[in-house]
Amino acid sequence: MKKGQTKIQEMAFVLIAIIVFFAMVALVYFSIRLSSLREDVTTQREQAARETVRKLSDIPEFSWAGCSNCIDLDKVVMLKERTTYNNFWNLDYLAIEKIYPNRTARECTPSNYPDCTTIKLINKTANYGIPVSAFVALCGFDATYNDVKCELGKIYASAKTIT
Amino acid sequence: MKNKKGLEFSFGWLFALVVGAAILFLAIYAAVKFISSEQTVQETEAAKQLETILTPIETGGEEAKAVAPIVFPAVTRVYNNCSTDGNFGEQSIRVSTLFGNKWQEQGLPITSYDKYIFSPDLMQAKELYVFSKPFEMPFKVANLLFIWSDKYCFVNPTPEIENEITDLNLKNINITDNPNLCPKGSNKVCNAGDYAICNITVDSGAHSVTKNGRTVYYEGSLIYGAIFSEPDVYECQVKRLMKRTSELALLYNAKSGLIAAESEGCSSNLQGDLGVLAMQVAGLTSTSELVAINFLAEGLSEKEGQMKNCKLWGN
Repeated sequence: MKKGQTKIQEMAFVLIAIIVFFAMVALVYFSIRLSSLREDVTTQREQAARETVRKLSDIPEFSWAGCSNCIDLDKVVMLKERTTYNNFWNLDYLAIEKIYPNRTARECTPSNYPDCTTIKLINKTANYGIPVSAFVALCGFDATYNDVKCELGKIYASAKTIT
Repeated sequence: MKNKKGLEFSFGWLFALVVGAAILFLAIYAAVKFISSEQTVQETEAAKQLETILTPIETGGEEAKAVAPIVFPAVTRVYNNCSTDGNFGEQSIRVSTLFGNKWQEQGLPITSYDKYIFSPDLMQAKELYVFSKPFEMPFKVANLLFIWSDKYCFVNPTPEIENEITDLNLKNINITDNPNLCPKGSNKVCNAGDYAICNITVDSGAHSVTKNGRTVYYEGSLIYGAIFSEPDVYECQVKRLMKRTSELALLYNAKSGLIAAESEGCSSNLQGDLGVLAMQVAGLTSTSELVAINFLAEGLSEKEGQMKNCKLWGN
């Protein structure tokens, strides 16, 4: 092999090595950047979920008039039946649970309401992480007393997970 | 004696030049692409942060609420887009920042379905002013967000508006009794027929606002939306609000059915009107139909007000 050809071959190898090196650096950088971006998005969504929980008792679909931190359970039970609200709130999980007085745990439907404990409004995935929660008063019309009755409850919300 | 050899390029040199140029080109291309995508990420994050900031502002009771101005690190363009597609329509905001003398590419749109932002379609400023007010038809439908950056000057507004602006201490808004006393460059908001030099005229009798040569109609707190937003944005947001009103009317109708089943028909007299309201608002094509819808809503509110127990949305 001539001296010139050897030099060209050496140069070619060096160039390939440089390209491979920069490609690897870029790969490492982008994987770190992507994971940080994912973290940012998750944080933003968690923040959004917290804000949603905070404002839930203000949303007309949930609010009970005349009480700032009360949820209208009669409305929420019927809201569950309305498919138009799918994807309205950017959440993966949204549930309301009666805490007190104690009852046998069971999912609410218009037929068993009010003798039930939980209303799962959004449950898109099993992997929704740890939901944000807050205590609320759950109010509704009670036919026995022919008046309003409020109970202690909790709302749970989790933002969209990123896969 | 002349040198006839000229400039000698060996294959090695040629190879190094070609490959070097290719590497340089690839490196520059990758850097440009990388910077551009980073800018998009930053602008998108800024839009998301703006949306998150707006959430607690719109959260509140039955009263209007103003907060401190939203201050950006640099002069920023905020694009407000509204679409009536889907069950509830869409609200999206995009952000673009001034970097040096150049505007960055707009970030990706941040979309929400439960926000109603009344503003010009493009705001360019370092500070944005925001206040929110609930909208009822006759039940609460949403908290509306009014955003502006330009100066506004209200000439002889109604006492209700004057009190609200004063109580909320809204920035960049002046109240005067003579349009000539308005700050230079401000948008003058006058009563219809009062002065010819006004940019925006409000006809409180006809419940209409004329801006940029277009007349839109309002009810209740929508008056601020009509004043601050672009007529196209306003019409779109009102249509979205009416879609939500329709869904809420159906929800109250269902709630009434649930209560009536337990209590020998309590509140069932509202079901017919709620159905009519839901149908009418869903088919709204122009804000000029708001007057008729409001008339229907007032009737419904009166009927609900007469009920002692099992109220659907009242106290």
